[in-house]
Amino acid sequence: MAAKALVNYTDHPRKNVFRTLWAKPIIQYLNGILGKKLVYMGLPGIGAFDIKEWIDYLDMVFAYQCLDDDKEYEEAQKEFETLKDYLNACTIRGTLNDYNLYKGYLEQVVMTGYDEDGQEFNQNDYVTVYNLDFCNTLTKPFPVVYPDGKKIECYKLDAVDKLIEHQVNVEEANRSDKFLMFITVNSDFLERNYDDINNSKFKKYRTRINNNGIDPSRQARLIKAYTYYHLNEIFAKYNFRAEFLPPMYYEGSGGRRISGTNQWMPTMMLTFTILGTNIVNHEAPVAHQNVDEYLAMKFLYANNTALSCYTERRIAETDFNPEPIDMIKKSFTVTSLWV
Amino acid sequence: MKLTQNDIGGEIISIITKGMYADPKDALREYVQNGVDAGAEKIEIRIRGDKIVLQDYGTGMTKGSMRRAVRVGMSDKNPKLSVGFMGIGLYSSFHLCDKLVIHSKVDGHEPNQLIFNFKQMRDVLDEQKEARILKLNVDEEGASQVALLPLLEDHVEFTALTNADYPTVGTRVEMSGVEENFFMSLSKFEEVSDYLEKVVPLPFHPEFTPGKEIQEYIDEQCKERGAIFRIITLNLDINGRKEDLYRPYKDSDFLPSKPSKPVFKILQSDTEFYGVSWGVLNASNNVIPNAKVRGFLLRKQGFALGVRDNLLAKFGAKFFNRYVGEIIVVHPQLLPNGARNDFEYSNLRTSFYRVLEDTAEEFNDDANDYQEQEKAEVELVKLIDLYRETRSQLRFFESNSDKLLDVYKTISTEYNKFKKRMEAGGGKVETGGGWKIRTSIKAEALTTMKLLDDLIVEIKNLIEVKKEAKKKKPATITETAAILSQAPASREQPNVEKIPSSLADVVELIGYEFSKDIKQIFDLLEQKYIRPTTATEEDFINELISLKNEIEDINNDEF
Repeated sequence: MAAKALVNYTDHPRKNVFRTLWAKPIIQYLNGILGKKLVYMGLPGIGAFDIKEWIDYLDMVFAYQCLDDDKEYEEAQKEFETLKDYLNACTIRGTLNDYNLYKGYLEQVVMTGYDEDGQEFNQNDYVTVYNLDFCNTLTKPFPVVYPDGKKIECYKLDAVDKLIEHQVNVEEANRSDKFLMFITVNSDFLERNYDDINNSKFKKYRTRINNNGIDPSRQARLIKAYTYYHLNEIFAKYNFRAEFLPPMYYEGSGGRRISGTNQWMPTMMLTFTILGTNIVNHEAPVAHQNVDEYLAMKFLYANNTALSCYTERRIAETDFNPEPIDMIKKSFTVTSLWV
Repeated sequence: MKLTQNDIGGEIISIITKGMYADPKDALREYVQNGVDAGAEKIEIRIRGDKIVLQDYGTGMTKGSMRRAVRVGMSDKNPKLSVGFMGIGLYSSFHLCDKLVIHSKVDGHEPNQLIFNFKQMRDVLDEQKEARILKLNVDEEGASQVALLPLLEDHVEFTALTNADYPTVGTRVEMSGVEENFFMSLSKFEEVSDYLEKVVPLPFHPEFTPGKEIQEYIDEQCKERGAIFRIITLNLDINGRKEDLYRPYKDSDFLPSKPSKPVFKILQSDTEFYGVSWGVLNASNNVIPNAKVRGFLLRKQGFALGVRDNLLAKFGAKFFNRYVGEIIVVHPQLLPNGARNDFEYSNLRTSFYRVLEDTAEEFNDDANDYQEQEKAEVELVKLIDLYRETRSQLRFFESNSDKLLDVYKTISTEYNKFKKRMEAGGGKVETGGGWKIRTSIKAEALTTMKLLDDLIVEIKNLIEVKKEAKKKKPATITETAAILSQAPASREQPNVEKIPSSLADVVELIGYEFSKDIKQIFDLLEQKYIRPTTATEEDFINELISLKNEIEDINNDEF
């Protein structure tokens, strides 16, 4: 019985590489730039591995956690409590100043303003590091139910839009102008959505990808462009200038067996790293990231132990040094806006 | 008679706490009170779903204090220095939550932890009750019933911690598994903040102008007498909505008026110092519009006892609701009762209430004086206007003996009325007393009286020598202006609309000029057509007002 009561959650090595070798140095660097610990918002999972890894640099946590639908309610609730107890223990030990844990999907909580327990969502602090580990596809709608019973189809980009809106509405005393955002999505993609992009550079990019027959990373490349385009629209709407570092491409923990074969097809994941800066108070015009350069760059790739550039021989892409501090120091955000 | 530990049942905890802490928010007050007693200047309350955390930054509890805090009805606290003293407050959340966890650390010492498993305790007591109902397993002696001591021993855990476990100096009280009915109420920010703002010793709101002066007065008086009155910075955070709380008074509570200058009274007898009180009157002599703050609130060292209306009987209804105020008791022997709505019965309490009644009367007298001063000021404004109007128009009617007589009568009456009340000085209206003219307007009042007096004499002379006066040239506008320049400036009297007394008045008020002949026509029309349709003078005036409004509407339509 005791064994059954144990919470079953696991980590996987590529995620660990992302957290420790990629994200942590960047967070540490941002911590140094801001001169204070960061406000985290994300989906840490029951194991809260990212929070545990980055705890030295965090002050406050906004976390979303839904109950595991595949488990009995009691068991799923117990898992949820495990995360809550961990965060609470952090505040007792003083390793975290405060936390807000919301039960439910991020989209549901952010869009409706309430979590599954009726807890109100309030964001009174400016988030300086997001880790939005969505796991599933960016383009799949999620049904959101409002307290008055109204049901709408919500997209992850809608939720991100709402989060950025909250950022600019934080009371002035708590406001900052910088943030770091990690977004992880499944590289499966409803390609027809790409047709919405009315921009010649992005259209050319698709043509270029299509001409090279580079599956399975073809889909990931389209998401790379699609996400860049749409997130930039959201950031611009709220007067943020965003810079995207090369997205990290890696095998997720899931996958499927190709029917009729013994071949295992892993789920490929993509994690974006975005540096955001509020430019509302900048008097001089602020430059944009060079889209062509971004699209031409290779993926960052994580295996179980290290980071590298992902080389696809059928398409010519730019190499880079996959060293996070080197990359962030050379970024136009840091050189032109943050330092 | 020898008793054993089994003679005090565990149910006593449930009974006492249910009676003493009817509102779940009372537990917040109790733990805040513990923080204040521990010298905390800052307390944070965080409510997250079904978990409530109070963090105070006081001195913390030593291992021994924590050990003793478990006791029921026994307290280490000195009533002279502390507000809590009954030794039960820790159990105030007995019915509120499943588990109470207390971490505490004294500077330079290792921290400790206390866990109260309230749900388990309640379950044991419920099972016991159930068994009694079903008559199971209960002997006549009741020995199978759970006694208090083993109940606490089984469900309260004490753990020594290290600094890494809890490094903060102070005390952290965590209630988890808050009952659903309670946490729905406790998750409403306004409901919780309203409660805390009323009952907890908080600073004045920055938007309450007299607050600074009042706080300085209280501090000074308490310091002078060696009494203790502490206020705390309290931050309330409910599901991320975070605010510092203040006492609930704001200037906006007085709108459309404003707060007047605060009045202070010391509550003391020949031998005892009970405390201080302050009151701020509504400047407009009306009831304070915000019902939540009007009247006086009784506080013991900053913590509210009962509600405002409790003191209504001591003050009487006339002026109570025109004040915002507090009666702050710091006497160490005046102790709050269990329900925290009054003091415990004692001779001292009786003496205190006697002093309070005298104080209430003083506040009422002040309000009365203020009211009379205000009235005097209003009357003075009217008098100045009367003078200016009469003086400026005199040259137009100086040949009209009827009008002269009329004006003479009016201004003589107003002059004498004002003079009489001014000379009578202060005193209650019901005893025929006069007005206390404020020093700031005394000179203005005297000048006005002098000018009016001159004007009366002048009119009187005009009447008496009307025939001769007719031969005189009428006064020029320049001459009138020169005389008027000596008068006090015209003062605005807001919202005073002149009421017509005749049809001619109506036309004049609308702004039309007409000759004497036309006036006679208006008078004739009035006599023939308006008077016969109205039964009383009041109806007649109302008819004129309505006629005036209708004509004005026509004019407006034309524009």
